[in-house]
Amino acid sequence: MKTEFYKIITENGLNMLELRGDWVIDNSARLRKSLDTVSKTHFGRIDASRMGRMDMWGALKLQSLAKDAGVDLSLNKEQARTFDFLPMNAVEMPAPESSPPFISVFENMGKMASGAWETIYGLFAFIGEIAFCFLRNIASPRRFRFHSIVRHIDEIGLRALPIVSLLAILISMVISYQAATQLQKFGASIFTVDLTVISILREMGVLVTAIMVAGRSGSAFAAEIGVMKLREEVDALKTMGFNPVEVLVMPRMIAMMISLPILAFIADIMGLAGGGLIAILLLDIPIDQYIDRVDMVAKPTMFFVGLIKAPVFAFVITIIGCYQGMNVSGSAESVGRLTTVAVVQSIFLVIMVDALFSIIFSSLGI
Amino acid sequence: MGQPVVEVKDLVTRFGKQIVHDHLSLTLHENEILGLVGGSGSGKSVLLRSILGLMPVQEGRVTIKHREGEDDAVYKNWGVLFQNGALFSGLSVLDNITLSIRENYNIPEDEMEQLALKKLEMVGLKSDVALKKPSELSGGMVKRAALARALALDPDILFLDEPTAGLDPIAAASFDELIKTLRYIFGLSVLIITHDLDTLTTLCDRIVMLVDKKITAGTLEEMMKSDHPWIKEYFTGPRMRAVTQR
Repeated sequence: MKTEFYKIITENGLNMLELRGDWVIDNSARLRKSLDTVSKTHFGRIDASRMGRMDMWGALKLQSLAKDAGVDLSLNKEQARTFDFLPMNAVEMPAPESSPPFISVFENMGKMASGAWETIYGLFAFIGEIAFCFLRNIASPRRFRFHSIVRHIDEIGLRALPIVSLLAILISMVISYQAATQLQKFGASIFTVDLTVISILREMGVLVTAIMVAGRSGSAFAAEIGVMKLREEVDALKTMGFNPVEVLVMPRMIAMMISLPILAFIADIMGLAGGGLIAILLLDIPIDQYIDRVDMVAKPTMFFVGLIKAPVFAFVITIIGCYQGMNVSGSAESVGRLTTVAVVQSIFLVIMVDALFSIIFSSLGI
Repeated sequence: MGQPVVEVKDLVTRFGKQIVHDHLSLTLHENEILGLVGGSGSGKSVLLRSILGLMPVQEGRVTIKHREGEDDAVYKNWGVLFQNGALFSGLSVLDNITLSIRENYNIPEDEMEQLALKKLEMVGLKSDVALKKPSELSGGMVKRAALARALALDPDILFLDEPTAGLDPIAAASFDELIKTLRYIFGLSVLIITHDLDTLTTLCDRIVMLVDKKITAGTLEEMMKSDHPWIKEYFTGPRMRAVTQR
């Protein structure tokens, strides 16, 4: 179907553009094409009164057509009404705020640096607030909100148990398997057990647990508190005389401090079991010999060196998660962004703190 | 009265054992502004969701002009203003408005921009909000920007869910005026869910009331003469008296 959108009528030697058809956005592609040809012809007047339907897009188009040609436009009553209502002056697009590229590079660098500084400052202020809150609560232990703590332990600890256990088994199997294939070449298969036990107890057990919990609960903290902030629930708490840190952050902190070491301990056990599985199945080491070897290699210090890190990791994960949650403002988008930031920062810090521990322990000779 | 554009026939909605709508019928005619009222929790929003197809119709029939057949014509021909605006928080106001234009038509960027800016101006917003994010707008501005988005494709039917809730009286009155003008210019059919008695008395041609899981429809005068105790209370209560005595 071919519709004509205009017809050129010559009247007293003067070209007049008579518009037809529906000037609606549905016809935009065809209409634009046919207007390309009309702009080449010269005409003295536009008559739109016999046109079909016209929507706002059509009105804008018609207006720009008349304006470009600098000619009069005759309208029917209905169209005149639309034109009266529509603000017909061209609207200026507001200029986006931006600096020249050369300057904006430095601008962004400066913003990032000051942002980093702000984060560090904010984190320390937040830690101070939590410490203050903790000290005040010690005087009246009822304010620790045991109900809430138990709920969070269930969420952070109990529900993470299956996934953390599975992960620990898998990691230790990977380590054992890699070590076994290398050590078998030297006929030193039995040292696979040493390697697995040491790496699981000292490092991997607690590290894998912490990373898993950071991904699971750190993000949940940021999102939960963030949404509460967004829906003004945090403000509601404040107006009712509650301290948001005491109500929201403290129970999570304590629950995390309790849960993460227990999870890490279970991950250690599961890791040893996973190592045993590989030793028995792959290295043909009998189970009693494996247990003897583990007994010989594993020293209490090794175990405690691993587990002492758990509360520190717990502290880092909670602080970052809750801090980012508290920083949410504006829209749902910022919840998503800050949740991501919380996970990235807490995993990064967990690994960095782990590295610091390694340095400290090695300089202490443990 | 014009042709019916939205027709609900014998709609039944149940949530478990709880019946929300019991064989409810409702018609929105062409070029009509219809006010949908009812007590809190009477199922107004559920009804709107059923009409919009956001909820499966369990029993009965919902017919909407342009929705016959399989194509997407209906999405171009209706506009919906949600209660809290539902502007996409990740997009600027301008992008919120141009989103459906961009999706459906191949129009040069500057033309699309002009169109969106006109829509903004039409709903009474200045062009400097165009590049702002929805979170930077006030409540009234969000409502207006959302209306501009709903009007982006010049729809025939407009659904408004509590458009004046949370607006100051001046803003609410100018919003009502705007809807009236739009109806006059573009021949819109409008379904408004509202608690605002001023909107009800000044803007709506007809009122439909969701009461006892059914619809009672009529003009304001007819509704005020009703014998139903709840409707009577609604239209003769102190707040309504204050509005009608003016």
